[in-house]
Amino acid sequence: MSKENTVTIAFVGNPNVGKSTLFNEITGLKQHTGNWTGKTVESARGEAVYKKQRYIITDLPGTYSLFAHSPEEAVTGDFIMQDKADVYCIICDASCLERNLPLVLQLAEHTKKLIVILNLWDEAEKYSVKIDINKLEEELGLRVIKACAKKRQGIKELFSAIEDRHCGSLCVVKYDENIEYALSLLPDEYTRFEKLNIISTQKIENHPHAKEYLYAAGYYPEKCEEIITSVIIAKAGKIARKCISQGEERIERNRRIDKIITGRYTALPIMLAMLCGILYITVIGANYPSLWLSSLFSFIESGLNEFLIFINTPSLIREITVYGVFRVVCWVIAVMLPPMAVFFPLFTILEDAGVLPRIAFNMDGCFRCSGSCGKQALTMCMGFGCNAVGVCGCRIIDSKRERLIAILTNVFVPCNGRFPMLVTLISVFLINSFGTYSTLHSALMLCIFIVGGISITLAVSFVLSKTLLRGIPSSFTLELPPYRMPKVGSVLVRSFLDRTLFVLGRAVSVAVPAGALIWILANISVKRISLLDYISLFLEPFAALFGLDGVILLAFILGFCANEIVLPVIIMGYTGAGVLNDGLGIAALKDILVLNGWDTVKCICVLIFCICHFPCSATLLTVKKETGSIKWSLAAIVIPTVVGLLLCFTVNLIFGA
Amino acid sequence: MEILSMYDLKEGQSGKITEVDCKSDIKRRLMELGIIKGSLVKCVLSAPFNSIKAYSVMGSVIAVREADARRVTVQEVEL
Repeated sequence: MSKENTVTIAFVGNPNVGKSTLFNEITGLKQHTGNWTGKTVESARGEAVYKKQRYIITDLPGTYSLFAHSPEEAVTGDFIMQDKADVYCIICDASCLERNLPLVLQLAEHTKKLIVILNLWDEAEKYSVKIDINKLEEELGLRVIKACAKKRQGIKELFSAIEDRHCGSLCVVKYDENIEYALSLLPDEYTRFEKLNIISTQKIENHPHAKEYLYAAGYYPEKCEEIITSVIIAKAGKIARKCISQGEERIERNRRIDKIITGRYTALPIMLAMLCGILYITVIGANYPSLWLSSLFSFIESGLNEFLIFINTPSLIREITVYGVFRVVCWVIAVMLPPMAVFFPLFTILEDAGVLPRIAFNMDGCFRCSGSCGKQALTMCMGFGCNAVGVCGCRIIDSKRERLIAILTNVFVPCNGRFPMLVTLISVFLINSFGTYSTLHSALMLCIFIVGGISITLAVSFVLSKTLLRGIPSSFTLELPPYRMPKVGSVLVRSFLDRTLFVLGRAVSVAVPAGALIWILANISVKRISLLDYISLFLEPFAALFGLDGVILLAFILGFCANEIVLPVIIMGYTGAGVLNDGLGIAALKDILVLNGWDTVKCICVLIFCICHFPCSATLLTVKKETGSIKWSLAAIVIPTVVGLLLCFTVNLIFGA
Repeated sequence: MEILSMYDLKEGQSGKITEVDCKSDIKRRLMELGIIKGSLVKCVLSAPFNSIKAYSVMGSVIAVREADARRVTVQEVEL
């Protein structure tokens, strides 16, 4: 499989055992792990050199069982069946080892080239979990190494164990007579694990002899799997009792925290406080870097402009480049990057600490009623940071139906790109105490709109689950991992690389053509009227139906590249400036808007449409990628737009002049 | 010893699973998590506003919805 001078290693393990942390420590964080909320969906590959030996390491998606039932489990199962690695490392959580043993046993039936790594050893010690390693090695017949990835402990031992290549012996679990006999009927070229896999799946069809025997005994594949699993689990329990002694302390401490976070009276305030806290820190904390970036970019802009003049670029091209493309791209980066760079690390810290699953646990009832599941609460929270990330995060939802619901409704949560617009418009129009404007009042109004968005999410989820995605809510189980101290450094790097840059890249790639387009629309005139004005005049009658106007609608359409530019484009349309500009004060902004026929009703319609409209390009691309279907991508455009238009229409009909 | 459903276990109560009578999808999922005939479960937590409970099984904590937990029969055990 591998080149002569490299050794390939595969990391296998349950979800959430710090597999990726160990992987990152060994490969030196050079690797983009594609990790979303504790789940490696695709396998990541990395390299390491130890004592002049080159190693290629594959980090496989976490799984509980090698019998594949979901795509990510299939990745692991296939990899192992095809025997792609020279050595397998199975990473276990030392603090709850019993849970990890079944996978160890399963893998041990397939390969001898197996090393057991007890990760999170420090945690196990902290909670007085005592593991007799010698006894465990003896029981399993495998090499067992204790490690602590966070502290880089155990990595040397791991490599020297790999060097040894003397890893262990096949560990054989005894099943009942019927299964053992059936296994003996299968050809010997299969390993024991492969045979087990055959009898517990439809692959049995290819082996009529064994099939006949098993079916006669009533051992259909499903039953075989159940028996095999229960035998393995029983054996795991037996080994655990021999080798592990556990103090109650850790469990008690976790329960005490649980009692607060999921308590009847405390749960709701705590969750709200966390959400508000994160949003508040994001909005405040992102302000300054945003300003710095803006001034940096405007400095670069004038430089670029002079440079293009210096090399005699035709003025049309120069202006498109500088005032169109460059300015829009910078705008998007300056407005988008800082909030995401603040929001996602905070979110990832909560995730690592083990708080997020509790929120899903608390919220499940609410979402179950609308035909979905509690994990949707988490993807919605991610949506506050960025809808594209929220949509991507829907991978944590196991069943396809609930996942689709969560993907299609994610856009109803206003992301960082839309937040500033909501905040600005609210403080311009909906706050009475304007001038000495009260933060509290505007925060309250903002909450009303957010809660509105959440209610719409629930309502739309409900309708979807009764119509397009009809069916019984499928299985929902949730693991509540122990609370852990998050490792801040790796959190920063991970969330920045995995989420922020990823979304920014997508947004910028769309902002380039959009910038050029906006400039052309605003600056090319026919009979002294710019194209922008033509289009907004054309859209006017349609937009008026919904309490909007042509410029607003056009701005939302152009905002497809990134929602950040919607408000600037509206202002550009009203002032006829031809280029995007910021730095307007609240008062000046209000003057411009009032001059163009804005009132409270129109403002409310704009706010509603801001929350409920087609997703931005980055989100849409992500929807396309996650669902793999054009049909669902279209649905992701149509559903929110229709909802938004209907709501605006109603509001305008009732309150409009 | 009383026979009850897993959902009937109150916080702090333990039971030994005697049968898992769920649809194959969820049954498989529960099985992976260790909720299978013969294993020991302990109810550790119930959610504040809804009918989902968390059970300690094989050293980890798994939340299961009422509808599913009702289809798992347990025999109460004192630990």
